[in-house]
Amino acid sequence: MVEFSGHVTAAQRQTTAPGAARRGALMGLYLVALVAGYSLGERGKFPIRVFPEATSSPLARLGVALSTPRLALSPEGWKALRADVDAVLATQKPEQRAVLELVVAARGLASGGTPAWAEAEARCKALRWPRCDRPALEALAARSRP
Amino acid sequence: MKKPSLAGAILKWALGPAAVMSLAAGVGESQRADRKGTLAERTVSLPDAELRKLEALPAAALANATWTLGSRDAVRAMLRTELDRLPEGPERARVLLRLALVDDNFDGQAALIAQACVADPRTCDKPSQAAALEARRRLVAPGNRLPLSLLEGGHPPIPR
Repeated sequence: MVEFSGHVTAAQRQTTAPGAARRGALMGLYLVALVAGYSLGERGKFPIRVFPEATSSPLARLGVALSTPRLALSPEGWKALRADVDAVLATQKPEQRAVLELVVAARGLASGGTPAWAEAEARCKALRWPRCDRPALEALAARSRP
Repeated sequence: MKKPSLAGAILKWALGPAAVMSLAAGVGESQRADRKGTLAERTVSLPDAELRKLEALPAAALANATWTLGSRDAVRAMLRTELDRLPEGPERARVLLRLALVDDNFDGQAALIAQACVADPRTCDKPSQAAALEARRRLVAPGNRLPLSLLEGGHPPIPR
């Protein structure tokens, strides 16, 4: 092994350069791995789940939506909730499905949080319930919260 | 200079970066942009028991909605479904009280209130108050008034 003393000559520098380049390449590789891993993970595109997580069902997520007084979600959140509502509706018996559709319309769960009163009234009338006026539907929206 | 072994090289150049990438992906996963502001984000860290409780909420919401405005037949059908679903406890007692309120038979009302008392002993203390609360939650008849059997102080005076 070459021992250095005093100033480094050009020849000596040439012998140390490959080691430095290798270290640089290695650091670059780790940096790329770090950035690529985070980026893929954040987009949900990393092929394996590093920390396995419990995934909630559409029914549980709808439960959260129904029990929250003034639900605030991102546009993606409302879109996802609409998909959850559709998934739950598909599993319901016809009579329960009709009531759920009424509650969803009155609470605006499939329309970005804005109640769809006209739809709610139509669904209520289809159920042949005794009262389907706006104050009654507003009361239903408030009192349906579990 | 000592030449690095093949295993050392693999560790340094392949497994190391793979491990860093995986850990970074795990951190990134916890910050997923497409989950921001969604219900999936709010429920992702909940334990199984909590998720099971949340799954019961839509059925409770349907029962409440039906109790608020539903016809007598809709209420009865919904309450029967609820009785099949709910174990002994305050929620079952509430369902039984609701059934008592829409029952027009005195004996039927008494039997249902007794069952509510078994389901939740706290109902026994003041059955009329618990039933009055449920009656106030209903906007349409029948069931939105306390039956005579539950009126405190007995039958109201009849004006002459």
